[in-house]
This record gives sequence, C-alpha cells and structure tokens, in this order.
Amino acid sequence: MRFFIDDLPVIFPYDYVYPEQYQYMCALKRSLDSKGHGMLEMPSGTGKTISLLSLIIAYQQFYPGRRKLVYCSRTVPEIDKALSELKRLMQYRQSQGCGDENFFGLGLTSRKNLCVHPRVSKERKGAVVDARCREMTASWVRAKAKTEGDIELCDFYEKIQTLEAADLIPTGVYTLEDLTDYGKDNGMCPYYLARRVIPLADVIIYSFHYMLDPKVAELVSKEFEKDSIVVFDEAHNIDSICIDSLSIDINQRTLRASTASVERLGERVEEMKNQNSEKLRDEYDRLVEGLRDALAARDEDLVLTNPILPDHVLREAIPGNIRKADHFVRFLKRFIEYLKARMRVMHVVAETTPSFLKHIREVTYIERKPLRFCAERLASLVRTLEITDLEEYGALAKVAGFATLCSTYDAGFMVLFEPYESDQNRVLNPVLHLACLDAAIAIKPVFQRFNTVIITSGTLSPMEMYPRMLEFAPVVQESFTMTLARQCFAPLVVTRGGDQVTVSSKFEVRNDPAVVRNYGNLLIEMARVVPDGIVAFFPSYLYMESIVAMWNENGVLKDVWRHKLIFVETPDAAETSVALQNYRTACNNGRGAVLLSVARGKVSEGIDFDHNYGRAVVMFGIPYQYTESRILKARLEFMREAHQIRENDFLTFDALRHASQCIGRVLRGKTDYGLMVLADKRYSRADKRSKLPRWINTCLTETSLNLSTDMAIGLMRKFLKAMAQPFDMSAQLGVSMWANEHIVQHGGRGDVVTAESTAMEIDQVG
Amino acid sequence: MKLLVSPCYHRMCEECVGNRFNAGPAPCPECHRILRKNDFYQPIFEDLTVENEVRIRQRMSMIYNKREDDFKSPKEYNAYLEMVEDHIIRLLYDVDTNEIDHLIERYKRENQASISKNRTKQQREEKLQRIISDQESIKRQQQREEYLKQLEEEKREKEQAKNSLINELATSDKDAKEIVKNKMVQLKKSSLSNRSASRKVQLDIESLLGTIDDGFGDDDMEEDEVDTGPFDPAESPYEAMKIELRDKYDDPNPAFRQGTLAAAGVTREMHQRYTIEGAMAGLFVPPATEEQDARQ
Repeated sequence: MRFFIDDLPVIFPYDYVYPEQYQYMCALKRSLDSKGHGMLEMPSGTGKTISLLSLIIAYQQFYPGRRKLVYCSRTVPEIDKALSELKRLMQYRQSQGCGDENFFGLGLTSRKNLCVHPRVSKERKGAVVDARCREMTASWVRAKAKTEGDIELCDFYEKIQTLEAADLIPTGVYTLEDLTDYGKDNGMCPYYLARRVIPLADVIIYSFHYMLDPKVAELVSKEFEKDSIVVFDEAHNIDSICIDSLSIDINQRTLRASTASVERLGERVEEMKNQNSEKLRDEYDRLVEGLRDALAARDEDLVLTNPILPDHVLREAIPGNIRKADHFVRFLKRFIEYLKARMRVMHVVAETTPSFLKHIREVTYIERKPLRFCAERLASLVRTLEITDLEEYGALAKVAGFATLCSTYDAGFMVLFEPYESDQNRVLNPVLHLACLDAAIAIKPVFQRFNTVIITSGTLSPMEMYPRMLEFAPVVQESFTMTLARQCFAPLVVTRGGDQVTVSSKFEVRNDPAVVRNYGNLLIEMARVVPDGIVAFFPSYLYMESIVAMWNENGVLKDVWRHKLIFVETPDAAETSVALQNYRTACNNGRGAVLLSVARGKVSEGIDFDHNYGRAVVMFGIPYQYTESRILKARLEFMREAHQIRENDFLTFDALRHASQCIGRVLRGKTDYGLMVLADKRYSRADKRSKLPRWINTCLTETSLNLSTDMAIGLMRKFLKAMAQPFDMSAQLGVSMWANEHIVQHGGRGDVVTAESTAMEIDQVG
Repeated sequence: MKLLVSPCYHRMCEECVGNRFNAGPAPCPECHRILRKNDFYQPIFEDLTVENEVRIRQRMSMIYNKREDDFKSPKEYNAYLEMVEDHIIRLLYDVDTNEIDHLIERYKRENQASISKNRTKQQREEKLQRIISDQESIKRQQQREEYLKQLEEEKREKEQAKNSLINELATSDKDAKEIVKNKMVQLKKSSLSNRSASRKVQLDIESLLGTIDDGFGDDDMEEDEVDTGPFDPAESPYEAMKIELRDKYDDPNPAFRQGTLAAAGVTREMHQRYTIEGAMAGLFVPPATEEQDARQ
C-alpha cells in the first residue's frame, strides 16, 4: 500500500498497516526531520523492523541528501531477518514503480560467517578463522609472496584487490547468503567485499559491536557521514553492551600468556635487529616524526586495535621512552610483572583509576603517558614485526588495552581486584577487573557523531532511564501500545498460592517449602489447562536448580510430566539448543512441553515462542541482579552520584526490563495469543507495575492483579476458551489494521488516487 | 619458605641467609660480593631483572627529573626521555657502566638547580594530589551518609503516613475512598519536596569544595611565577591601570570603623594620589591614571 506522511510518500509492502505502525512512522519522521535522536518503544511482533525500513528508505529516496541508514541489531539471525525484510521491501517498491536507482543495501558479519575459502571456512572458531585469514591477506605476506613463490595467498582476496570498489558488485540488496553466493560465484571474498563497499551502500545492517565496541568501530564505522541515520534495534540492553565493550578482566592465565608473548616479542625484535634493522628503523623514524601510523597502515593490516582514545591524545606523538622496540618490550615486561605482584595480594582491593596509576608510579616508575599509548604502540610493533599469528598475542593485547583504558579515563572506571571468586568460595582464582561504570563513555561518540540515533525496542520502559544513563537528549520519545481487535494476551499477577500463602522470590522466603510448593502447584495447574508449550522463567540458574531439586523430591515434576514434557535450559549453548529443538518437536506433535529457563539467559533474549510454541509464559519471582557483586555496587554508586539514579530504582528497572523481555517472548504478532503470568507478590505493587512497558501495563486491570493460583487458573480457562473461538479477520479492519481510507479517517493522508475514491464513497454514503 | 634477594640480585631462602650471615659479613656464594644479613630483602617482583631495573629507575628518577615544560618542544622532551631510557637499559645489562656513570655524574653537576627545583615541585604536586583525593573521599562519604539518611527519613515518613492513614480510617466518619485519596496526594507532595531539598544540600557541598580546590590551585600558580625569574618592567608593555576612587570604603578590620582611627589629616583624594605615586615611583613611569582622571 501507499500513503503519505506529511508530504512524504511511504510505500509499505503489505496491504494494511497497523495503526501503531503508522504512528511509529510519524514519530520516526519527526525525529528525522529535526535531525535529533529518538527513543521509540513498540510492542514486539507489531512489525517494528518493516516500519522502520519503509519509512527510512522512503525518506532517503524522497528527500535530497540521501541519508545513509546504519541499522544495528543484536544477533546474526536478526541481521539476516532484517536484510530479507529489506529485500522484500525493495522488490515491492520496484513493483510499485519506484526507480530507486542504484539502491545498495547489505549486511556485515564476522569472517567466520562469510568466509568462502575452501580450507579456512571449515574452521569452527571465529578467532581461528580470523588468524588464518590474516596469514594470507596481510600486506607483508602478500609483498613477500611476490618475491618468494611458495607462500599461499587467498585468491578470493586477491581478486578484490584488483578491482575498484565501485566495480566489485552490482547494486541491489544482498542478504548474507546472497553475499556469500555472489562471492563464491565470482571468486571474491564476501567479507572484504562488504568492508570495501560499505562507504557506497545506502543501507548497512550489522551488529551492535561494529558501532559500539571502540576496537571494531574504528575499523568499520569511521567513514559514515554525520548525516547518517543510526538505528539500534532491540536496544533495551544497550547500556550493558556499552559497559561490556569497555570492561576488561585479567586473570593469571592472561598474565602467563602475555609474559610468554612478551618474551617472544623480545626474541623477534632481536632477530630482526640482527637480520635487517631497516624495518625497525623505519618504524622508529615514523614514531619520532610523530606521524599517525593509522594513515600509513592499510586497514586490512590494522590488526590489534586499540580502545578509544580521545582525539587530542591521538594527535600527540608516542612518548620517547617507549619509542624504541626494545624499550617498549622492557616496558611491557615491567607492567606485567607489576600486575603479577598485584595478583599475589590475598584481599579484595577496589580503587579508582587515578589511585591505581599512582601506585604503579610509586612501585615501577611507569608514568601515565606511556601507559596511555600502550595499545597503539603494541599494534605498531606487531605490524612492524610482521606477526600474523595474532591468536598468541590476544592476551598481551588485552593487557595493553587495560593499560590504555585505565590511564585514559579518570572517572567512570574502577579497578577491582578479587582474589576469590566469591566470598564463600575459598578457592584462589585472582581476577583483576577494569570495570567500566559509565555506559555513556562508549556510546557518547555515536551520539555526537551522528545527527540522528534511534533507539528502539519492545521494552524500553521506563523511558526516562535511558537518556539519563546514556547522557543524551532525545527529541522524540514515545511508547506505543498495541491496537487489538480482541484482547489476545492476558497478563496475570499471581501473588498467593491456593493456600493463600504469598509467593515471592525474595531472598528470605525463596526456599521456603510453602513458596516452592505453591510455585510447583501453579505450574502443575497451568500444565493442565494450557495447550501446547509453556515457558517458565526463573531469576537465576542457582535458584532454578534448587527449586527443581525440591520439586523433584515432592513430586511436582512427576505431576507436570503427566501433562507435558519438561526441558531445561543450561548455561551450555549447544545443550540448550538441543533442548529447544526437542521442545519445539513436542509442541508440534501435540504432546506439549514445559521449558524451564532463566531470565537473562539465552532463551530469554532473541528466541521467539510464537503460536503453539508458547501459549503461556510464567515468570517465577522478579529477576533481580546479584546485588552482592562489587562491580554492580560500584556501578550503582556511580549512577547515584553522576546521574542521580537511585540504587533501588535502577535495580527494579533492570529486573523488570528483563521480566518484560521474558514475558514478551510469548506474543509475536496479532494473530498470536498467549498468557503472561507474573508470579510474585511484589508485581502487584504500583512502583513495580509502573515500570512495565505501557502496552502490558494498560492490560493489567484490577481483576488480573493480586490473584491466587485457583483464581488465576479460572481466568486462564476463560481466556483460552475465548481465544479458541474462530476469529474473523475482517473484524480487525479499521481497528487494528488500517487501509488507506482509515488513515484518512484518522486525519492522515492516504494515497492520492485511493483518497479521492474514498472521498467519493463517503459522499455516496452521505 | 621465604625467598630473599641480595643487593646483587641472587635469591636465597631465609634460613640459608641466617646460617650463612649470622656470624657477620660473608661473600655471596654466586658472585663473591661481600654481603650482610641486613642487605637481604623481600622482592616485589617475580622477575629479578625487573626488580633490578626498578632499583635503577629509582636512582635515575632522583636525577633525571625534567618535565615536559622544561623543554621547548615535545620532540626534545621525547628525545630526552629516550636518552634516559637508553642509560637505564645499558645500566641494567651492564654495558659501558662506567661511561654511563660518568655521564650521570656530569648531568647531575650541570643541572643541580633544576633537579632540586623539580624535586620540590614534584613533592608539592604529590601533596596536592593527596589533599585532593582526601577531600574527594570525604565528599563521597558525606554524600553517602546524606543519601542513607534521606532513605531512612523517607522510610520513616512512609511509615508515619501509613499509620496516620489507618488512624484516620479508624476514627473519622468520612468516606474511606476520599481519605485514602487525600493521603496519597499528601504523600506525593512531601516526597517531592524532600527530593529537591536533598539535591540542594549536595550542590552546597560541591561549591564549598570548589573554593577549597581553587585555593590550592592558586597557591601553586603563584609559586610558579616566582620561579620564572626577576620581573623586568621595561620588558613588559606598560598599560595604564585605571584606579577608581570609591566614595566609601569599609575596612574589614572593625577597629578602623571608628572615625578617630581613620582620620589622619588627609582627604581621601590626597591619600589616593600619595599611594599611586608611591607605587609608581620606582618604575620611572608617570602615574597615568591621575592625568587621565584629570582630563576626564
């Protein structure tokens, strides 16, 4: 269909548009018009991705400037899904007579997923693929191959080097599969192909990390114009991703490996000195001159990448005392020995980065400035020494990154040393954490560099939290509810068991037999009334284990078994995917199944339980984080001081965003239906409820709050019976689905032709 | 078992050190240097070359302590850093030790003044740093306490409100719904005012700390300026300073508020002229301000 938003013609590849999609697009357009950032929340399963794409593509093609779209998603399947939606949209646009000349869209993912080299692509680990690839594509290897015959190069890569970027690939939309196929057919490397043509593309779809992780962003994302539109989809966890990308953990194994690497580095330096010192000399001269290495180095060779340094630092020359290769090797050795000495301490130490640096200076006479250049200097040295096997230097690069980060930032970081894994555990396993506490550090460059950054997800409530944590000011900030012709999901808050004992995962009562029994009864009753699949979420693996053990003893599991099969999620990804597959089989063949899984686990993020795969989801307890963690405590304190976010507010916010992620899994579209059961006394409190997304919250009425198990089961029966009635699709029209005339009715502008015809119709009726 | 290290960087366990050196000085079993029991110490680092290096650095840092601002360009500074690093590495690997020692001695003699100056500077800086970090931790502590107090208060208030609500429900004849509604509104208001009050307190602490920090900063600056050498008035461009005569002057010293002490037999204008002339007398420049004033 075709309609207008203001003066912008939007082509939408379906016959009808959901009202919330229309509103979403209006909000999105406002944000694009004002060139400001936006935050948009829309329920899962209402076609966020397609609304986003159709509006932005329409915008891009209609207005001058052709603003590039950079779409970031979480996982590879999600990237692929977005790409195929894009492909479908572009085909539809074509059929509607839109020229869209030279439209070019593609996705980027790691070498492991894209490699077509017959031998390398067989490798199973991403790091190994990267290393094998570099062995054949590094510029010095290729230079050497010119003089010496017997060095293997990658033909796919060589082919790319012979062509200009514009001639590599015809324009169009390529899914990841299309890209590898094209690579295979034309003998080109899809990975480097994608990297080369990114500057030419109109739409790029890749993972969050290519934008947020400073180590990778430098390589991939530095060429985008300020005018580009950056979208983070499924961004409810964006603060954790930001923090993870800047946090580094160092343990004894890392240190041992880096000592070995330093030794090898020293040997290589000596070797090179004896053979031909020209290269080392060149590097040295370059460093003396203070020329930026990055300019000289080809991007394929920029192998050990460094964490973010502010621009003014990057323009400075590398300090004199680490300029010479052997000086730098000694420097690294000294730093590692210092860390080792720190590891021998038997008590917990938490300190700020300035005090950590001060201590380093007192003990080893290492100043702040050379530390700051550590990562960059190491990258330069590795390049000069022509080392391709970077796997071995991973640990050392980590240590260098640690040095650089902790000497660059005074605030927002914490150095934490923990000799034991936990307070109860007396097994020595010392870890040195460099914990980033401020999510804004990683994402700030993105907000500053691009005019429009859109953060969107199914669950962003409470929305005022994100701008504070990420330090940005959205011009558009909206939450949309789902318009429904029939109420196809029912959130229920169960606070008591059948015996009126309150249930809660509060620490004091969580292992109380009465609570465990009541949770068990709830599951048994649900297994009895709900058809097909049920997904049950627990706050943590630990709690799940203990509760399942108790259920096993008191026969709950046996009772559940009578109605459904039981599958369990484990921390092991392979095991979980087998469990998931069997769960689906059991749902399909009518036996029915229960999947016991964990909030914050793999299942709760990114796996959909649509239709018969999930007719009900039950959340046992509130998934709070482990609050005794020192890093979390430090982060809470930081947020209280820097952003005025109270500890409890954040913890509740974080717990409920995970809870709503979990229960949101059950509903993936308007034809779907599902029950959402929140089993904890605390959910019925106003402060908890208000933090749920608006579309769930509005459905929580008095009747669905504060239920006991038997009351909830009654409501479930009623709901399932209602849902089982045949559903007339035409009832949706005009309510939860709009054609052109409905857009006009609601004060919008439909397509010119149809708008006139509807006007006539209205006249006739009148 | 405790491993100790000798000044010649050889390891020996505590017991052996006792056995060997209890009777007085004895040669090291490895390099035959004469050692005493007291010379042995516990090493910080696993790698003894690093231990040695750090010792050397300690010595060097007392002598080669120039800073970036002592040099005209960063390039020169970097060259200097590299030179120092070269010395250290050569000392560590025992290459031309005598020559290096000579160089160091010479450098020490030539730069006596700047070494001691930089040393005091560094000490000052360290002190300043310490004070600042102390202040910060105090501030953090205060904020923490403030926050906890606030939480406590809110909790208490909530409790109170709840109690009074129950009381009211039990005693008054009004509609129960009405009462609950009223109470809710009250509660919201009080918590809001509470929040804004707490923020204000925090700001006050901030500003207070700001002034303290500034005080330290200024102190340092003054010292630096004195260091740059005697002031030459001929070199600096002279700009006429405008000094205004105020109608009234309140001396902070309360003693001078009494008229008897203030009157010395001169008018205010006269006093101003004397002061300005006195100030300018040594500079060989006429007091421009007075002329300008006269012209105006």
